[in-house]
Amino acid sequence: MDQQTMVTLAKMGAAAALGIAAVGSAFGCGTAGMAAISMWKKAYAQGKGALFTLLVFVGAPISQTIYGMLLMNFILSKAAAAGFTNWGGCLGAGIFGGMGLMASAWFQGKDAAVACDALGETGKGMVNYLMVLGIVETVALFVLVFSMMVL
Amino acid sequence: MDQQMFLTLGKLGAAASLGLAAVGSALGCGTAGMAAIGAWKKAYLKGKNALFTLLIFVGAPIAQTIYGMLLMSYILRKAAVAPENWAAYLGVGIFGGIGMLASAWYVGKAAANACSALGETGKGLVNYLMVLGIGETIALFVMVFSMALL
Repeated sequence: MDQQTMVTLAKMGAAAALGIAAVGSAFGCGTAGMAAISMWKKAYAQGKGALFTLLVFVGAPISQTIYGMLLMNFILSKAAAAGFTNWGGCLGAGIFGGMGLMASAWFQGKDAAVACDALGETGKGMVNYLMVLGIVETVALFVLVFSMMVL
Repeated sequence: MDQQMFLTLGKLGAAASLGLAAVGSALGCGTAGMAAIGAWKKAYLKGKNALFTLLIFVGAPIAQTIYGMLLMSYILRKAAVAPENWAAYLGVGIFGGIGMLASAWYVGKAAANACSALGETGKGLVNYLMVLGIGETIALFVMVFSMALL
């Protein structure tokens, strides 16, 4: 395999890291967003004020897209080095790492949706809910950090 | 295929091991997290305190990501010495990763039920942890036996 093919395959991995992670963020934010909007609807229907804090939960899964972008940049900088041969590692880190980020964002969004419901109805437990979101976020952070060992 | 091609394919397997295990951890922690938040909501509605212990269950499936990372570094170390065995590295990474994915995912489902059970009865923490331990053992077996294969 010549040098150009190896570099372009690595770049394909970089693109996968960003794109697949973004799919998860979209699923996650969308799911949490549905829950937030229906909580607000309930509040308005009962004549109460809408709890603005729910936006914290809705935005939580967006960070995985940023992690995907960071992983993409790491892969691109490795692929730009002279004598680059590790296209397989870059492709694997992009695709499988991206899948890890996607799953994390998606299910963090599901947690966030349940958190919107719980906070909206009880008005309590913000810290507990954020800690759960933090645990799921940790998976994405692990993926980002450990993937660098393969590159 | 030349030496460098062997090595990079082995590294692809290493990446699969980490990424697939992490997918399972995310699904598992996410599932358990939903149940924990639901249990807390119930407690608040009844005017009771939220049971902080439920976070143990939520965090349980994250261990598989660490196992995936350990398997990954083991593959990387082996691939640096004997890259011609690339298909074994690829196979262990992908299929071992799938094994850990399934383990983490279903440990998370068990943990979700544990959240609901502990939240409602306040009893049985040890029993629930033993169930999670059994699910966890599968991931440990996958890691250890995969290392024996390489």
